[in-house]
Amino acid sequence: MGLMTVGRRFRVIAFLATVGVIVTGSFASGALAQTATSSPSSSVGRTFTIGVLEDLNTINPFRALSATEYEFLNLNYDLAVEFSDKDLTPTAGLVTKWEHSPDGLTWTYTIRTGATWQDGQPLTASDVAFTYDFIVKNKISAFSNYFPFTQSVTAPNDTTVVWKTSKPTMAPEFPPWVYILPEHIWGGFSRTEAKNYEHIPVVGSGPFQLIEWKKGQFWKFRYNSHYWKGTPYVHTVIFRKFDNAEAMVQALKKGEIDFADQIPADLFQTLQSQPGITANVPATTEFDQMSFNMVPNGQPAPTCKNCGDSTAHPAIQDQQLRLAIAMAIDKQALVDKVMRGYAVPGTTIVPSGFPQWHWQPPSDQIIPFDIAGANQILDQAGYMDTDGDGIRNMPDGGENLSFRFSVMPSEPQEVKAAPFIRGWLKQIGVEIKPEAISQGKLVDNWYANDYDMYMWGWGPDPDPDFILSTFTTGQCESWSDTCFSDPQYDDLYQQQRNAIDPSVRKPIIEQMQEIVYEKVPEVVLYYSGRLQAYRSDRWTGFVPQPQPNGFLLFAYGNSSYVHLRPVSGEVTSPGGGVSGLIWLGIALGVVVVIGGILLARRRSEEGRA
Amino acid sequence: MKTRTYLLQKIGQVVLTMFFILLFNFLLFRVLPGNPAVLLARAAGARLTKADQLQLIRDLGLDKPLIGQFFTYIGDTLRGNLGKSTIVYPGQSVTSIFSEFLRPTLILVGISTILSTIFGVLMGIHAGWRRGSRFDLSSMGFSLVLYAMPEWWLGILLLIFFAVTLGLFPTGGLVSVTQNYTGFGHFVDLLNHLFLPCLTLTLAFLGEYYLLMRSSLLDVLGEEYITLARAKGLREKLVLWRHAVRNALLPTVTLVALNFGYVLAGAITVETVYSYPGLGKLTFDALSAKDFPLLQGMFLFFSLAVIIANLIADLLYAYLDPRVREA
Repeated sequence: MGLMTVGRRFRVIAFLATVGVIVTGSFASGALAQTATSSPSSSVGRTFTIGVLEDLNTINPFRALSATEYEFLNLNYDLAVEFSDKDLTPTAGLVTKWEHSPDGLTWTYTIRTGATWQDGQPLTASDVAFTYDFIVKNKISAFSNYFPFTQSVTAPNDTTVVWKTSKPTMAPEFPPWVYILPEHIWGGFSRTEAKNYEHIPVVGSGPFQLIEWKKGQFWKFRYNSHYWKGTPYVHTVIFRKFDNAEAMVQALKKGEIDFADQIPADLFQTLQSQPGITANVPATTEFDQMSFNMVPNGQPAPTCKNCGDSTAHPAIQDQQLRLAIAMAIDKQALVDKVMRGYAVPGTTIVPSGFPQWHWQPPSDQIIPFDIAGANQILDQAGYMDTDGDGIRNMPDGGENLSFRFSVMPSEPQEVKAAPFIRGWLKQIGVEIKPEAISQGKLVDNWYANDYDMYMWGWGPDPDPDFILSTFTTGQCESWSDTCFSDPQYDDLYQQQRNAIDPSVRKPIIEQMQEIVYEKVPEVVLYYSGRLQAYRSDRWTGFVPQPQPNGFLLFAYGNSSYVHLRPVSGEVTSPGGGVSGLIWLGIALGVVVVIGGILLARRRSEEGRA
Repeated sequence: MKTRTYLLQKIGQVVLTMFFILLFNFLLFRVLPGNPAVLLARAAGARLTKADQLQLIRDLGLDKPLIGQFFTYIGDTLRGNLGKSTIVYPGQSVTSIFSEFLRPTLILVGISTILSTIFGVLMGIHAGWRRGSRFDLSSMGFSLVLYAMPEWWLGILLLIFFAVTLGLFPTGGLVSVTQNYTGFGHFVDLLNHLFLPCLTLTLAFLGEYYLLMRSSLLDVLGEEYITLARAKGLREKLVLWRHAVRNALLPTVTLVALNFGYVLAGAITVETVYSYPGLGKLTFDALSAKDFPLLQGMFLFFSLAVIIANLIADLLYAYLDPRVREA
């Protein structure tokens, strides 16, 4: 009986082993065949993979919000008037020429001939007119700011767009950051239908076409061989989403990806010395700021009907106090210690990365880092430490100068900056209580007017109109940081909007920056940009925007994608893992070991029991 | 008869716990900071008009009294309607999102639970049986280090070593994005991507199972029935496997069953390190985006998983240990 069992058991194992070997053999041949077919072909050599941390949440142009979404639009569509690679000034795109009537009320765009949609249909002036007109007619709020005083946008023929306004404006040349949509697809949509339309493959006129979208994992583009700027060398662009910046940087080092975007400063530092990788320290077109609640305590916000009454500390109303705080912040130290040197100290609300619009305060107007000077200002303004607790009090001897200060953990640099700022302000007898809260909570506090100070950031459009608009009184309801309200500023904003001569507009814009800088509704801490790195041992041809060191990708146009070339011959990617044979070997090994153990145990038990 | 009472009692407890979880889950999302309409407005491209916001609040039923909202929530949940995702997968039903993300997590957690249990238990037995041996001391140190190490850190270390230094495995994701494998090649690709997350989770749980198995074996070895077994003249191997291990397994079985519920959610860190698209990553995305309906659904699901795992542990325990159901 015992022996019989052993025998049967052994036969079973022998049978399983045989089956295993047969299956292994057939799989192995399959694996070999697979290896043969997937060896680098031309399509692999022409694949460019980009690592990103931000997901693609929508492919609807009216809902796009994040940089990743804008990069998709940038690849798949075209702007009418583009931003130049050199300095982001308006440059010909689908529109080859633009001019306005002497009164500045009628603008005429001349549309390029020969451009086509990715489905083969010709792209004409009526597509451009349709897109702009759709936004104006449907009051698509995210874009309507680009169309001030607009009465109509029409296409009298295939190459002409006429844009009529009720007041003179430069808006058609800013230009509108609006991607042109094919009328033959979007033409029949209502506002709601248009806002919900998401269909793959996406039909645009850009150099690449989205063909596959696996949300949270990757999205793929195929090249457009009929692109009017020329056929891109790269045939496939893949965005791969990482949940973890460290893993993304490792994937770049390994070569699984060719490009990494938005690298945190400390990881970026480790890439600087990495052979085969170029880490691009970008132009400073973005900024982080510290904002004050400018609404007087107990009062409602000027234009915000749904906002609560302000709970701001009364001292914040005092411009001298805000100035003293601005003077007590060592911006250079924030650049060095928080941003690891990949930023420059900030001044006005138009970043230095836009040199044609940025106003640099002259030396006699600059607010210096000066703790002693700040103390002196506060002394003169009557803020004395009357109760001896190390914190200054209100001039009437009342409340401490103690402020709430919110930062967001989703922006790690803010959390890092807070203790520094607290330390400096302590030296001028001002206490801040940093609190890390979610963006949602901060927005709620903002609407409730229940805050003193907070940190946040901006990545403004190349044209300063938008960022300037956020300091107008009317924006208190939506985009304003501080509910800053200044009649002269509001007036200047309208003036620059109506100025159709850039030489008239520029001094106005400078004056507006000066007002905000002097009245200190917020302190612009530093200017920075997206930290990006790529495999320079494989790829060349990036077109930084603006030149010489602007963003390589995620910029303001698509030049890099069109001009990317391999460094030499063909690019080969490393394999994504061990081969099927090794896995089969492991599987076989496990079967043999388990079989062996079972057999040995059975034998020993049967034999000795 | 007694078994049936025990069973009914346990199921009753489960129903009661479920009710409190539903209540808690409902209230939790109503005391959270952040006005949902404002959050949604920001997500939808900001600058939503007041009228749009009010419409949104009406659509979500947030204008009704709390008690009414609660009953709607209970009713919908019982019908399997967990609502629709608002931000992460706008408009897609929460249940359908689950079914898509559940499979990778089940495979990952399933395999690593099996492996960590097998290796943890075997190592624990070996170490406990040969207490004080070189193997005992070294495996003890190894397991304590693993047990104490945060998963995400272990994950990053393994990623740097296996994926970058050795170049053997991919740094993350579910499949290769640059290749379109089919058939067996696809399977191998999946395995390659599964390897590192699986190794990380296996190692992360190995230590715990090892330590528990070792100590419970040591407890059992001191029992009188072991002395009796030896006195009967049974061979050492039989004493170990038939008498000691069998009884010492009880707490480990419970822990494994209990853990399974937690691990479904606990793979969050590992899935985030490797960008592995499972429930953990989904939770992470839902949390970062503040997708309330999705989050609410996930919390409910994870609570359910823990409760069911608990129930299974209870039932298994009763099956393995007659004292439990007789008591």
